[in-house]
Amino acid sequence: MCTHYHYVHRNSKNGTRLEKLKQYIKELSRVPSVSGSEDVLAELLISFMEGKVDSCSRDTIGNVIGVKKGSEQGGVRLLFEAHLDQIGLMIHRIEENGILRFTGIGGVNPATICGKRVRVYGREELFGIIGMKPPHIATKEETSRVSQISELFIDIGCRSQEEASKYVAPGDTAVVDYYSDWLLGDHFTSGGLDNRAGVYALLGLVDLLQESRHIHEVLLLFSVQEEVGLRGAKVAGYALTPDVAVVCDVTFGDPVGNPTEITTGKGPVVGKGPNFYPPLVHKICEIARREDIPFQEEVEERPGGTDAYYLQITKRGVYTAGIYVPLRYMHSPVEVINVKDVYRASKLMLYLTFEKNILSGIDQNRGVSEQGY
Amino acid sequence: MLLEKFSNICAAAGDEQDMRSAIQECISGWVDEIGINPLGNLVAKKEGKDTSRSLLLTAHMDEVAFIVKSTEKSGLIKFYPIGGLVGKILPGASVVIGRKRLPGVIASRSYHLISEEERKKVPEVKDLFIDVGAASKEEVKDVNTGEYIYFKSLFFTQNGLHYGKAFDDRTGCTALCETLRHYSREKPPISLVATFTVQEEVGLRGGATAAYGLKNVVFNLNLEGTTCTDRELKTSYSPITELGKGPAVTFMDRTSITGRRLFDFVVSVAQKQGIPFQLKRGVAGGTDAGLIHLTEEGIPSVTISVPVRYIHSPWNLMSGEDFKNYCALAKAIVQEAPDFS
Amino acid sequence: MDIGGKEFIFSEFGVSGREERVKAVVEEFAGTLVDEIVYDITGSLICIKKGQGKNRKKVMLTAHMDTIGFVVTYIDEKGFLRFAEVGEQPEAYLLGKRVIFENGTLGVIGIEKREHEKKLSTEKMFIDIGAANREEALKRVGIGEMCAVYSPVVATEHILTGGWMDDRIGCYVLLAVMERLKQHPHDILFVFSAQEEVGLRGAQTSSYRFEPDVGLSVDATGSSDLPEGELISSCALGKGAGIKIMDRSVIVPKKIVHYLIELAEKHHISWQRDIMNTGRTGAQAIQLSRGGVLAGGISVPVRYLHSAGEMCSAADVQACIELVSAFCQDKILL
Repeated sequence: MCTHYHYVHRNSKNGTRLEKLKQYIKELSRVPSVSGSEDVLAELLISFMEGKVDSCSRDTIGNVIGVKKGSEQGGVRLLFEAHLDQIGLMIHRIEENGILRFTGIGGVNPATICGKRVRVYGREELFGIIGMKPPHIATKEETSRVSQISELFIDIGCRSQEEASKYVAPGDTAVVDYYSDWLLGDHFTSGGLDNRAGVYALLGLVDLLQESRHIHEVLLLFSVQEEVGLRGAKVAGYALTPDVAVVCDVTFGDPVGNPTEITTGKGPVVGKGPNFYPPLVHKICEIARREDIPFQEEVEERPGGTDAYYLQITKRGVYTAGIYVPLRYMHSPVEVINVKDVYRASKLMLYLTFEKNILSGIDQNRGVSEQGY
Repeated sequence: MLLEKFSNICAAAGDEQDMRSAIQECISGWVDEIGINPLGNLVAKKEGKDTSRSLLLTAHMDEVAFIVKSTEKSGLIKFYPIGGLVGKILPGASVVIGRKRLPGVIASRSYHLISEEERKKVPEVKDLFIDVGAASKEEVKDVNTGEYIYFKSLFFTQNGLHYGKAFDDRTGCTALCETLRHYSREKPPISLVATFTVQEEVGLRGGATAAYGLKNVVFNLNLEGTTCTDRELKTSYSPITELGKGPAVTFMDRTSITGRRLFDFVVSVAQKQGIPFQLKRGVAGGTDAGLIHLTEEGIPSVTISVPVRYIHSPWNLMSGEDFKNYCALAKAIVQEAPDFS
Repeated sequence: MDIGGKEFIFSEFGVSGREERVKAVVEEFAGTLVDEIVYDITGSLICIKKGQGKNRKKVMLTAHMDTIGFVVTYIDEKGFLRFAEVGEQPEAYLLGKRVIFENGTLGVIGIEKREHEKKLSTEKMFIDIGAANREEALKRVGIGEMCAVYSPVVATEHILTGGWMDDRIGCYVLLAVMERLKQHPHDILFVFSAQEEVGLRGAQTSSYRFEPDVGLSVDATGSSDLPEGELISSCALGKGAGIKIMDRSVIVPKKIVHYLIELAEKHHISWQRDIMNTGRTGAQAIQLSRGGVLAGGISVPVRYLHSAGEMCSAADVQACIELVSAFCQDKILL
């Protein structure tokens, strides 16, 4: 039975699947997951996957790994990955007067945190403000340049070090608070969409897999600590040794100041360049055209910036591809994505799971990872 | 001549297929088996008289080049550099694009049209573009994003000096092939694993996977082309290497420190065989050795290089004599390898 | 403070990649105290002390024995040496410093012109070993040889100060623990790692080879308790052993942090939180080796890192020794 038939038939379900995606977004967009403190989100993801995959576990560093066997013996080990951590802050020191000095975890943009409310995870969750003098008394110099993180502080309303120490301790994490809202045209804004968007895409894939008979062995990796150096993916890649790895992260879809023409709403972005295996990239684009999935392309001239960096060079090498969700205003509390792009990314990944000749291409005589080269 | 052939081939990080085919064609009769790893490294194995140990020899196949970022409405092409390339040497360069090797030029505004101010500024790559003679995006529809762009420089020799592109690291690839040719009819003293790596210029990617799974490797000899700055005059400074003084041995760079014993061994081989050599007198840069020596439990690794003036630019220059001595040193190291412990 | 016969760890030469001398003296000391000594390709020394329990875990402790230094790249006709840095160092810490080579040759770091002091660069500096010309210089040192700032450590009742505290103080802690340890359930691998200052290299290959179940790096960490000082580290001198929470190379899993805090409290060892917004330690090499390993860090707070006057508190060092010993003697049910 040809795969086309399966899918033309099932496209009528697009509506319900989109609703399901929105449900995940509703449940997860407020869950914090700062690099190194990903437990809450990780446990939720495991609970979502229960019953949908053959096994699900966490490894030493905290990565969530799910495995779903394929229907064919000759299938490859196909890994889909999204990092589940987000940037955040860590309390560094409590000053005598009760204010909290902090440092960034991951690439925190100091320009977007001034004057904002934060949620601090001390003994309990509490609010704080990253204080900023009003224009009436701040000097021209102070208002015209971006303050460095070392100059900023969090005010949780305490008046002394002793008082503040009842609520927080150095080492506690915090996130810049945000509102999660639906904007026009299927756009959604929230903090942490880098890389919650990728997580949503993978969750969508897990659901789509329930309805299909995929031939390859599917490995699902929600990795930790990407924002501080791609760490989770490095060790998970070693432990899992996939044949093929598809990374689902976010990329720039900004309407202003964007060196490319990539934007939200025009479909997921397929990565091109040395970090990706050209025949696999070619295949993904072919599938997208065949199945009428709008997509965009982005050239990355140097490997780096996503988990594909380590996954590709695991052991003898892994065939990698990147399918990214375009995102505006990265690393700010007001990131914006288009939920349709997320859904399309899930579908694109799904088609790979029953693509028979997934590794065919220019270099026919390349081996898979376990061969002696 | 092999060096000329390799120098003229176009291959960059992610697009090394032409080098892979050419090398395969060249060495297939000389080795026992050839394979390609998932990243694209070409691996050739040759059994030696002593099969209990092996020597890992490496050279990278990729050169610095460019990749198509986008085609504009005007028909001009925007690009990114692949590997370390600066804007300073680009305006006025001739290039070829894509598998069809479409000729193009990296445009520079007519001199007369540039203001005094602007004439002093070095352009950034993002402000440059390539002209293939098209007048609209439609006319370049066959040029896709992600296609590769190479310098158009054809190899020639003059007064004993070689001129061409990609001497970093076609010189290494040539020296490695010549070494395999040398041992094509008789077995090398110990088994050889010759790995032609990919994507060195964008982060030592092939190097990261080159040594995985290899057992009982005595050491790794990495063959490179390196900076020769003997034409830049600096007071009281040494050039990093000098033309005509022989191959350079690296004691340290940003990615590895050569182990003392291996360094002394290489120097003693050169001295014993009467091969002129110099030390690479600078610690900048990195090579595949950087990741190879830390793979799994670690392998001692050393890099020898031929001095090349103007690497990472359209025209490189090196001494034919240096290149001969470089190939000789590589062979001598392989011959003496069993003595290293 | 009584260094108890371990002065050698503070004075023996050993720059990244050329640690042979310090390795030899450590091996001599450890030889009688451990069951097995192994070398690794990058130059690290691994001393294995077997435990007495059943179901023994492999516990790896690392401290790096390499120090920052300089490598000679050129010798001019007048016998002056040009150099490059081995490991990162602020240029401001170099001027006028005495350096020592492996063979004992002494030199001083000079600068070409006084005006260069305004914008320091190693390109304008050189090492003067007092040679009359290149020939004479070559009799004592060669290109590719390494040297380090020579500032012998002095220990008083309250403080230790000198060069190379990063991370010979960590090595000192390991040697002191090695001496004290009699009963311990697990196998302890004391790794004196090489080439840390140029990229955690020794710790990487040793972790891969020995596949520990859990690891701790014992390193020097910053101490930001200076007048009007900028906040880089959360540590202060005299406040106890640093229990690492985070630096730029590792975020220690919470369960290890809590475990070490509980252990310190139980044994009445003074401790403090170590959060650094810069820097890296061997804990990363352990944590990211193979499929991932549980790793943490115990740190000695040190002021003026990478200078000739690194300073730490004797009490903090003692606290680290006690905490690491307590860790080794514990069942470590993580």
